[in-house]
Amino acid sequence: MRRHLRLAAAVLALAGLAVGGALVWRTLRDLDAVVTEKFSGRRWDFPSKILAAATPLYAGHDIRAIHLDDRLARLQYRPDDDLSHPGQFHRNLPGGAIDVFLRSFPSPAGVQPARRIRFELTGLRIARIIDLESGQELTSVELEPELLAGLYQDIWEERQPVTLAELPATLINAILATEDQRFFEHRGIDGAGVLRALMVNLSHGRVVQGGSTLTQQLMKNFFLTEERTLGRKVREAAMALIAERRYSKREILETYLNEIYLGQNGAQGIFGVWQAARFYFHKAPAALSLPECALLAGLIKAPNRYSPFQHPERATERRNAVLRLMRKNGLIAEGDLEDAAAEPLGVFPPGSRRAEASYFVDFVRQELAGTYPAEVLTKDGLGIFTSLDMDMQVAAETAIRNGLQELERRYPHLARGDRRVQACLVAIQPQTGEITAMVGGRDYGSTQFNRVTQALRQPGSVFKPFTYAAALDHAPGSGGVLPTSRLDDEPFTWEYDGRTWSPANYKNAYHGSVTVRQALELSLNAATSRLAERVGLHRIRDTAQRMGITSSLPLVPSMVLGAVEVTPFEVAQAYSVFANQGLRAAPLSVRAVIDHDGRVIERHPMEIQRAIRPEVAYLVTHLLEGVMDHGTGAASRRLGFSPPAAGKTGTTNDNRDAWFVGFTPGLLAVVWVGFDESRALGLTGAQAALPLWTDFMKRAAADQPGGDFVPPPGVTMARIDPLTGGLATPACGHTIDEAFLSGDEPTTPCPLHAGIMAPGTDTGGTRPAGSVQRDRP
Amino acid sequence: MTRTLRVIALAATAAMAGCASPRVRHPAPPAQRPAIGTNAPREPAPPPPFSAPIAEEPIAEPTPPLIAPVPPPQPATVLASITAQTSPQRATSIRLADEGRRLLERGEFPAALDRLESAVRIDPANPHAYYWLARLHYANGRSDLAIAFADKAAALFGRGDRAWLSQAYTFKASVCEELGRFAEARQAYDRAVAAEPGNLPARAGLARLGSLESR
Repeated sequence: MRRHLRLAAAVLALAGLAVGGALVWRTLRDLDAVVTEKFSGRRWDFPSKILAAATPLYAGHDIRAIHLDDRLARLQYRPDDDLSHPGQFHRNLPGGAIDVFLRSFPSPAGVQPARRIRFELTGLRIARIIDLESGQELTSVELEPELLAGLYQDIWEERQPVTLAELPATLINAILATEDQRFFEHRGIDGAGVLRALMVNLSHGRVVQGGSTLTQQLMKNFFLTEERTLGRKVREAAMALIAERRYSKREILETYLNEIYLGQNGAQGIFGVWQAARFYFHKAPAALSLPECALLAGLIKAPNRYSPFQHPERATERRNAVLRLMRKNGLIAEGDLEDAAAEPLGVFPPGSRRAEASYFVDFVRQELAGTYPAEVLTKDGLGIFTSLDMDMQVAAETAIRNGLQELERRYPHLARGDRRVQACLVAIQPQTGEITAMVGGRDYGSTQFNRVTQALRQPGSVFKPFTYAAALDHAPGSGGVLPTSRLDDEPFTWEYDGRTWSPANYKNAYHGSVTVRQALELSLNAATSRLAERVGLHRIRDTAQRMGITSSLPLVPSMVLGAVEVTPFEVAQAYSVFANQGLRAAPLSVRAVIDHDGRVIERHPMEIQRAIRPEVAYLVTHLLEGVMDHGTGAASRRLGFSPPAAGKTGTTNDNRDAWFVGFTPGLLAVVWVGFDESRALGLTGAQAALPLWTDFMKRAAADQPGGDFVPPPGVTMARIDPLTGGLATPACGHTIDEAFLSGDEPTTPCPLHAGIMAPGTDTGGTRPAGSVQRDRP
Repeated sequence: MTRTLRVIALAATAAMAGCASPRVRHPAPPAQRPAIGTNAPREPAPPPPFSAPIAEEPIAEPTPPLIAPVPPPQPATVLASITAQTSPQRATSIRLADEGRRLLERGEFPAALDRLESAVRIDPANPHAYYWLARLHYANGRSDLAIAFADKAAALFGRGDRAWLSQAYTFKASVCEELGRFAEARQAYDRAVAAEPGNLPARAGLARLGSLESR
């Protein structure tokens, strides 16, 4: 019996061993598959990056106006007299020149090579740009674009993988000395190291030294959670052994050096030594000095605790401890230790981003989501080159922020209640359709609702120019509407479909007989409505739609005064047709997308199409210039905006919406102000929106080429007396330059003053014959 | 036959309308036409065979003076137009547009597109950038864009540079003609001749469209 029991026990034990062994074997096999897959497949996910437009630099640029120093700092360029590595610059050269070693970067035009260039300056302006290698003068160069946002899943891991060959021995030695001195001797687990750590920790009474090898750390980072359990330690050890059996020491070390977490830059985690060298020292790893290598090695244990930005003394102590360890291991000489320990940390504090552009980033994300799955965007490291101009974005955010504060100060009723007044701004370059700035609201953190693209609001008088465009579009000489044609600005009733509509002027003020020009400059509802009745609702709607209004436009008379709902984005697109000689440019936010290897996946060239005749576009633009100079937009001039510009105010009947749309020959911006919940603002477009627009344009237009709007062929300019529409004579008291379709221009002198001598002529007066009074101040 | 003549006519127009390289697509050349202003006397038409009243001989119109042909403007003149007074944006835009033109002539379309679009961004009022974008898009098979950019170039050339204005209209006209958009082509040739009366390709285009109409 006893023999049977012993036999049974032995069988059970054997069975238990077999089952246990099978389980262990299966677990090891699974772990082996995991390790293999990670090492042999793609080791890391790379977030895609949304980038602002690259900054072109060319002769004539004022380096202060383009914030060159700030830009170089944000792009992590460091001052260095040697100029031996990309990412360095050197000032204080004779003549004030600046030498820059531009980094190589991928771009839609191909990879831009790294090269040394010199900006020769005259005062603060770039006089010439010279390629220092070839001596060739360059037309322009681009600095790499600034990062707007990364697209990632859970954590933004920013890294640039490198090979061991690209890393200095000093850095590798510093890291091995600190983290795993016996790396090349153990097989994944270092028993002696564990014992040593145990002794040290016992002597200190706390954990001061870990016993994990570099391989174990790598397994933990790659696969395992932060849990501190025995089971996790066992799995970590098993995987380390497996990895050491399968892969070489070089492979493991290289992977480790690219994997490790070394700090934080806002939302961006800094991973890998290349990224850390760039982040802390604005250098490639190959250029790191001994103390810099020691600092990075010391960070591995606890990057935030030893952060050189937050805790510089602690960081210095840690760095010097690493240096002493390297000396103890015979890796550096005593003199090197003393010199390195005396060095300052030499880190560059991370600059804060000049503009958040959160609404624009969201807009781009939505555009990309239509083409790329989330997995691709968050893992494949695409480069998304956008049209956003960082300087203009800063100007826009500043204008909105300051403008709303000023409005609330000046009109305290706007700040009452729990819902604050809102505003949005969008700027585009009319000729290219590129969105150069976008602010969707006053505070993205409170609400991500992008009023530029999502808010359907009544445009009010901003809609009027479409009526004038339709009215002025006729065959020359056919008796069509001219800028000098007369309209009755009197109360009237429009009958349609058995109903009536009676538009009223602002404050019920009527002006009697006015010209088309005056009706638009002063935004007269009655006169405009009469004109619209004459033109016809179908033509007006067709014109607006051809120009870019995509929202539904009901064919009712109130449409002509803007009793419809559109987004600021549509308004911007439609008005850009006026600025672009009647051509409509397709809106553009993403110029190009490239893959992780720098290959262009998609490229969006400018696309334009004819919307209205260039002559008609110019006629309306010329009218809208009058709005700026002495119409409802004239306050912009008093606020100091002087370049040639055209624009239109917009206020809805119930004062819920305040608009201003304005453009120079090269830049257009739309500003809307109001409450989200559509309560009355109590302010006009000129009071609420125009000041914000003016502030933005004063900042943004500083780098614009300037110049006047150019009349196209088919337009004739004539100096006229606006009272009569006839050609100006010396006796006309007030004259203006008016634009006409060629063939429509007046051919006879002003009937009121023809044949009348100019005042003072007989007595040798001061006004010579043929002189005219300039209309523009 | 008619189509063949039209194709030949277009090719000659494009060949004379500006830069052409073997790798740049351009409209087909025009057919051979008598020179404008020939002094050869016209023979009276024979009387009709029936006993209808013989129409009076129309009074011959006076022969228009011979128009001095004007060669198309040369790109080099554009670079030469940069002076100390030229704004930095315009100067850079002109240079970039010229780089774009040379890349286009070498068939390097992506690089040319990049330069030309940069030229537009830096100075949106530089008509030359749009002109060469028109040529580039035509070479790429995008005639619709070619016409739109040629329009834009013409609107900006305005009265400032009649030779280039005429050039832009001629190019637009030839593309329109190739597409069978004869009314637009005629208007553009008209404007080309109005801007530069010595523009022979434009005159030939008008004559060609006139003869097409009369068939």
